[in-house]
Amino acid sequence: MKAMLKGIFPITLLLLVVLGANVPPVFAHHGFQAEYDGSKVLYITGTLTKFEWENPHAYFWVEAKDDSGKVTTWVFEGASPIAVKRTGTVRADFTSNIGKTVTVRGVPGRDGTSKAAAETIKLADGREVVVGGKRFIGDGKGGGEN
Amino acid sequence: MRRRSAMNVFITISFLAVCFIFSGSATAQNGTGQVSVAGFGKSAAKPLPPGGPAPRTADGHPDLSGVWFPGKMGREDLTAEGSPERLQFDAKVTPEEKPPYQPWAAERVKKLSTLDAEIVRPSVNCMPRGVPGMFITNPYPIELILTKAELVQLDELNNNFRVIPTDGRKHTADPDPTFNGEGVAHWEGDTLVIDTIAVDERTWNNFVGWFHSDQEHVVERISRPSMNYLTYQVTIEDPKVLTKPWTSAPRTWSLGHEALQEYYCTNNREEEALKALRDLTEAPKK
Repeated sequence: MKAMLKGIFPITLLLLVVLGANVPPVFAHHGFQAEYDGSKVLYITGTLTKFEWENPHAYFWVEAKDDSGKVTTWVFEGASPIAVKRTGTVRADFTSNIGKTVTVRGVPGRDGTSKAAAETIKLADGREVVVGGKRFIGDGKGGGEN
Repeated sequence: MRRRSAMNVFITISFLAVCFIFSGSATAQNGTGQVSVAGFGKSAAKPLPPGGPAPRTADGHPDLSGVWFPGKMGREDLTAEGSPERLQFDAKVTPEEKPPYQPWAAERVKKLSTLDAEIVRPSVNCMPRGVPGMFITNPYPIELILTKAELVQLDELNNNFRVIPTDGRKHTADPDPTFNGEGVAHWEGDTLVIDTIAVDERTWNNFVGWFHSDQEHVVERISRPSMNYLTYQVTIEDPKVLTKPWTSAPRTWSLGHEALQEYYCTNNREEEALKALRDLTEAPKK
């Protein structure tokens, strides 16, 4: 099911974006509401290839292969490294997982490209760690002030 | 021919059905339990206890010194995002009045599109948030150092700081505009009152376009009701922009036990991304 979902996901995402999102009338996060769509959630599984541990946001890249073998490079935005570290996720969680398979939970960008704002990342050892605040607002309030 | 048309219709319907099913699947994963991190997105954050009486300085004032985090937790925890304990105030408990704009100012703010508001927002551009932004739009910890003659405020955000004399002196005759303005302070009982003018007009007082004029006058009141809590409230007068003074809800900061970290905003991709998105969605029609 997960593999099927991955394969169909670009089409699904496009359709969801075309159908239009219920944009909450709240400005909150540092550029978040305009740039990302907190009404949708996505899970991307692939290889962690790179990360940037810098302010104002941490970024990391994941190469995800679909069933046809096509590789899509996703770029994920996290919260600031300071906030991420204070929540218990450290730089070594990224350095020790480069080249390994991870699954990221996040919400998609509004521009239709393969980018997303990340909430958590499930590492190769099975630990799920926080890299951003609550971004998906489909099941509650999300998007904090940064 | 007819068979091909029927097949095309069948394929189209099947495709849409699959898309519908999987779009449902994608959103169906939203339910609770998908994030295994304990407490993620919940309101389980615990506020600090009052912690006893506030310490006092040798000359009897409440000692405002300490590392202070916005909200009631005394620390940062992204899993608590969405919890009122992580916010400076809970609008459901202490509603805050909207800025009483003059009609022309209200019109100017209203004209900002969602994307433009984001693109020009000083915080997105890593500009200093100024006064009172260094308190009221600041989600990062600060350190206050109260000496006999000054209050020093260190902001982790953008490695910003200000130094305010507390001896009750008057403002200088014609201070140059700066992001943090010219602040002078005096004590009213156990409350330190900071009076600030000459704030650079590039700062905003909220995230959604509250600009101000060169006539803005900011009065901040800071007290320490107990060991673990700081209360902050600000009144803003701006005769060119507002119809009357605006006073914030009381804001809560809580005592942390960790050092400030370095925060230089050196990897900002927001402005570029938002401009690209604006070009994509709001391109002028030819």
